[in-house]
Formats: sequence, structure tokens, C-alpha cells
Amino acid sequence: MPATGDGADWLDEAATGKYHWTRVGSTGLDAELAPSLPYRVRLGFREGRPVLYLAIGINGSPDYWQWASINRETREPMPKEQALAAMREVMELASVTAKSKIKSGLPAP
Amino acid sequence: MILLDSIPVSHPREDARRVAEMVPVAHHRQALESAVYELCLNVQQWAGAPGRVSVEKNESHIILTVQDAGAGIPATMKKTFPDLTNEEAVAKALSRGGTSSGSEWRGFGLPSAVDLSPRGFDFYLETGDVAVWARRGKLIFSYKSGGAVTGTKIQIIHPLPPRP
Repeated sequence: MPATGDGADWLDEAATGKYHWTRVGSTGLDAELAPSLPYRVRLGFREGRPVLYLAIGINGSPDYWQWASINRETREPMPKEQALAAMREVMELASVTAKSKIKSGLPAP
Repeated sequence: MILLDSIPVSHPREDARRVAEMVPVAHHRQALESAVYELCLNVQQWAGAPGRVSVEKNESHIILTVQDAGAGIPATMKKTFPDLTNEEAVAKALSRGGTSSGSEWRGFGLPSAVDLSPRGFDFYLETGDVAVWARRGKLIFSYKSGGAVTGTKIQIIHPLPPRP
């Protein structure tokens, strides 16, 4: 089923392989995201719709993941620029918090 | 990151004042201190485990962390709201008045920290398998790839001015 809703055509293009979304360091996405952390984007399908899955790596392993092309409030696909801006923002924020040496669970000595 | 200070949560008012004074802000110091105070109160009232408040700094940011080794927000919230997903449980806890007890006039700790995000601070929360940032008042939800973490970690991040 194609992505529906205004501005979601880019997910259909991604689904048909126009963009190289699935490889680490893929040229199309690197150019648009200018990533500050290692990341991987996969194209998947959720409820029959194409959706981007973003994993962000810290210290050499994936640390966070999110459905990156869905508006959390409306559950609708986001337009491309909005989704890319959100991905850039979360990578920027994660790159700051990743520098913290305070880890969850065990209070620091 | 250099660890500037790290103390057990024991006297929320004094703890909050001590760490907030280490952040070089021209504005919103009172809001910062109040948010840290509320977070420390949360540790004492809800975590059921010891907590700690810490301050770290590098050349670009200073980070205040309030953390505990308790059950975490999803597990605590789901005692009262068992049908919520972990993400929904955290979203409810971040909303004003959202408490695990459902009581009125409570639940201001996390929202007061999120409310700093339109004032030049970033917010980060890690609890269970949920990670949330807030910037300019907007919440950004992610999941921890490695599964659930123990306890709750909340960070208030402030950028430092570039060195001349």
C-alpha cells in the first residue's frame, strides 16, 4: 500500500528504491543528514505503509531507535524535509548526551 | 566530560541550589533550581531507591543529571495505568499533573524540567526502554536498542558560550 497523505510521496520513492536508504553511510542520506553519529536507516513497513526506522549508534553499537518518518501525534507519515530535520535534531541531541559519563542504573560513586 | 560534582540526593532544596549554582546562566536560574528540586523530590518520593545528582562539563555543554536506581517510570506508572505502553506511560509522566497515583496537585517534577526546554536548555530522560529528549518544548521519543535500563536518568543540558 502506498504512503498516503500530503507530502508522503518521498516514502513511496524510498520504497521503490530511488533512494539508497538501507546502507550505512549511503550517499543519498549522508548528504541530506550530515550525521553527527553513526546511524542506520532501514525502510520497513508498518500497518502496510512504508516507514523509516532510524537507529543511532554510540560507542560502536546501536543505542537508540525510532520510527523516524511518522508524526507521533497524528500517526501520519511526515513530509520528507520535516522527517529529515527531525532525524538531524535527534542525532544532534544524542551526540551531546552520549558524551555524558553518567550511566543509568548505578548511582555514580 | 569532566565530573564537577556528584552527591547523593538527601536534602532536595540544598542539593538543587548547590548544583544549579554551578551552571553559568544569566536567566532562568530560579526555574533551573526549582526543576532540579522537583526532580530530587521525585527521587525521594517515588523511586524507592537511592538517587544522585551530578554535574558534568565539557568545552561546549554543562549537564546536570538526577538519577536513581528505582523501578523506572514505566513500571511505576503502569501500577496505576496498566494498559499504557511504556512510551505512553512516560508521556503521561511528562505531562503536567501526570502521576502514578492519579492524584491532583502532584506530578510537577518532570514537567518543570521539560519546561526549561523553551528557555535554552535541552532535556533528556532515560527510563525503562524509553529515551526522550525535549528541545524548545517539543518531545522526541526513542527507544533504547539494548532494552530496558535500570532506574531513571534525567539530564538538563545547557550550552556553554564558545571560548574567545
